[in-house]
Amino acid sequence: MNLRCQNLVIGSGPGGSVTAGLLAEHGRDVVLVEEGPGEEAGDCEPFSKDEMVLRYRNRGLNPAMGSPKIAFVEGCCLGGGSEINSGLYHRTPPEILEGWRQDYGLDGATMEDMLPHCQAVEKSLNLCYSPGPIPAASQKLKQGAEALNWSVMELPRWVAYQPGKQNLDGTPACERMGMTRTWIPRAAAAGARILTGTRILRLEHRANTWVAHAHGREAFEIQADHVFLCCGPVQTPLLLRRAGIRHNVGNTLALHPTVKVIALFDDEVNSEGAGVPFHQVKQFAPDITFGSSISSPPHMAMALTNHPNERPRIIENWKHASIYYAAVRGPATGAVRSFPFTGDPYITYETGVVALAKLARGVADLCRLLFAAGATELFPTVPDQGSYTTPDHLRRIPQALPAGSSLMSIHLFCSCPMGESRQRCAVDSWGRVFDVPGLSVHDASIFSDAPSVNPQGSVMAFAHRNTLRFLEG
Amino acid sequence: MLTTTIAMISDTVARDRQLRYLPGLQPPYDDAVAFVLGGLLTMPRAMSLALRCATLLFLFSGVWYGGRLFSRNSPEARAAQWANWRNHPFLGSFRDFVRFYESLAMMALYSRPEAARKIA
Repeated sequence: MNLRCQNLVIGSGPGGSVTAGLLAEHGRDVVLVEEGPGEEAGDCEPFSKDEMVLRYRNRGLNPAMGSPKIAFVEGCCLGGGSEINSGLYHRTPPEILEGWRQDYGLDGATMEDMLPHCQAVEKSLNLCYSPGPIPAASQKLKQGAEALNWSVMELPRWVAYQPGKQNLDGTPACERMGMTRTWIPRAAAAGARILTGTRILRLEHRANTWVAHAHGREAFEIQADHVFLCCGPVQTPLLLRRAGIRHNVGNTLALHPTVKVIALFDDEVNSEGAGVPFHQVKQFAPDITFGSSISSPPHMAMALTNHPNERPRIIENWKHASIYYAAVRGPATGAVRSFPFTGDPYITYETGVVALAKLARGVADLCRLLFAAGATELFPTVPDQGSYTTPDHLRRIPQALPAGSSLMSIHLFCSCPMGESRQRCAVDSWGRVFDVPGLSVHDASIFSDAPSVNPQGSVMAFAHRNTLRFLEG
Repeated sequence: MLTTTIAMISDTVARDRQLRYLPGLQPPYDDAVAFVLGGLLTMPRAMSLALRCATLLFLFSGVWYGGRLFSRNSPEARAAQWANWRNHPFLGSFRDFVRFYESLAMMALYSRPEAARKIA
């Protein structure tokens, strides 16, 4: 069952879907390949155990080895990460774009250059603010920030609010407008062929044509004139390295290391089916961001591994508890390699003392904010800290978080940085792999550095920009 | 052997300090075992192999804590072994082992409808 196409797009996350959609709408013969399941992943409850099984890569069990180790998650289903996240949207901050220009020689990506692409993406995603009451956990974050006179903002989300429908906590009910609701149908309507459950094992350049060795129900080949790698910051560099392309590939993985704090309040802040919190505190951006996350009992139980003895009490009072986080802009000190023989990814990441100090400061400031919001007891995911019941207890927080801290990340990037600096970058300012014809990268791998905000909006805007440039020839 | 060990780990984390079962987390643990085992089998093969070896080491080190394999020890001895590995002063990999199994087992057990009903 070998296939031939003009453009092969590998990965159906935000980068791949936008790329495939635009290419197909411009009349290209496109094949979009996704390793994970398609419709067979079915409808599962967002942020549930079933979702982890059906839509996460390795069921969410991905460690970045280092001190401390960092757990990270990636989507592995049609639509990729857009099908499992909270749908919070950011444009790339102008100062970050300016840093990429100065440090990596990134051309044509000022805020002014990016604006039409951001607007096109925002329109396609039905970006909107909540039309009704905000979740109580979000309200607490806002209240604490306002009490301290810190900058706090409500983020727009890529969701469709359902008129007249409410979550159990009274917040407006909505559905994710992930790629399976937006760009993938557009790609399919324009004639793109979509293959799910199909893994690309390696790429080979043969007589001016790329050959992708694929494995779905059986092994087969896909021949294409141009290949767009959109498999995310772990799988993309692995495919490049397997194809013998190693220059600045997989050497500079960055992420947003994140530490959590579980807060107990006197009043109820949580409920079954509570809406996704959508406020973030940007007082210390771009270095540190505070927000709140899904706080169902299973997630809370998982987050309390540093407080096993307190866990039953907190879970019993889970309606009075919520999970908050401090995320920092981590250095690009990670590497993506593969295990010998198996070829599975092996990720290393050294958070470094500077980021660990930022995380410690983040925990302290987040706890101050939560006390200002009325929290009565706080539990950081940091070992040997116990709980904090007064602001005085925050003096116990070390200068830098220790190696045993439970850190996680849902934002990875920069494993194939983009720009004109050949010394630092793997792809040029438009995502084309240096000196390799017919090969581009359109996912978060190409970020030159950690963006300090939720990356999917930036991934889509850059994919939009780079695809239009490709189509212009 | 792996299945039994995971079931007994689930049983250990499903109890409070007085070794009473937490609401809704009573045996059987087929759901937790399936979830944890599924995770073990889908993660990168080298890591999965290392974790399975560590699980066997954990199983056999039950002899040190209670005279028998971890899965055959009393709830008290199992809890002591679990706490010892969790707080091990030198071996970070012991602590990681506990964190890995505990977070997965907790996710599975608190996803049970009966657990949700008990704490609603």
